[in-house]
Amino acid sequence: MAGVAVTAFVTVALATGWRWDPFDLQHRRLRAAEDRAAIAQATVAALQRQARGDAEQSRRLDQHHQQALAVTRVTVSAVAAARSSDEDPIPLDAIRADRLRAHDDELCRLAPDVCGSTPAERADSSDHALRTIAPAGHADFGGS
Amino acid sequence: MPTAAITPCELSRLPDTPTLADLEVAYLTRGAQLVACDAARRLAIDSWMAERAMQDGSRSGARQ
Repeated sequence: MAGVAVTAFVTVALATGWRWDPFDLQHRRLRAAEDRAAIAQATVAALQRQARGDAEQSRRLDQHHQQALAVTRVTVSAVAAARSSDEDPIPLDAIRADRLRAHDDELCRLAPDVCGSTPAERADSSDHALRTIAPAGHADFGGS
Repeated sequence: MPTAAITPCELSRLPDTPTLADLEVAYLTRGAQLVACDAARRLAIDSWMAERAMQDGSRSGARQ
């Protein structure tokens, strides 16, 4: 009789949605799953931001390289024209040259980083400068 | 930060016994160096601002 009553009680309880969960395990499992989902969502968002940032940086670098190439191209052409008109070189007036050099020396004293080359290297400085403006492996200077 | 953005700008100088053509070349080269230097400056600023925006986005995403 008691067994029938217990069985009937359990059947009714289960049918009305009652669950035996004295330690609230189901709720804890649900909360843990929600936490994992939130972490996964944040990770995906971070990866998407990273991918967008990488793509934008790549576009900026490409734009920079294209501009450097264009600058080098027009300057190499202008420098070649200047050199080709130099078959009978006209020396620069010594006083003027000294004045320009003194100013450059002063600039280099104030900002040594921008004057990396030594005087011996300076004879080739314009060609060297044009090589450094263009991104590595992109420019062809044809030994100008 | 891209290499171009952290490389110092350059100042082309006259050779020891300059000609008028050398002066012209130095003038042309300095113009190109100025444009290149400004492009590198802009690249550095854009990279820095993008990095900062990404960090701000990460922080606000972590708070939510």
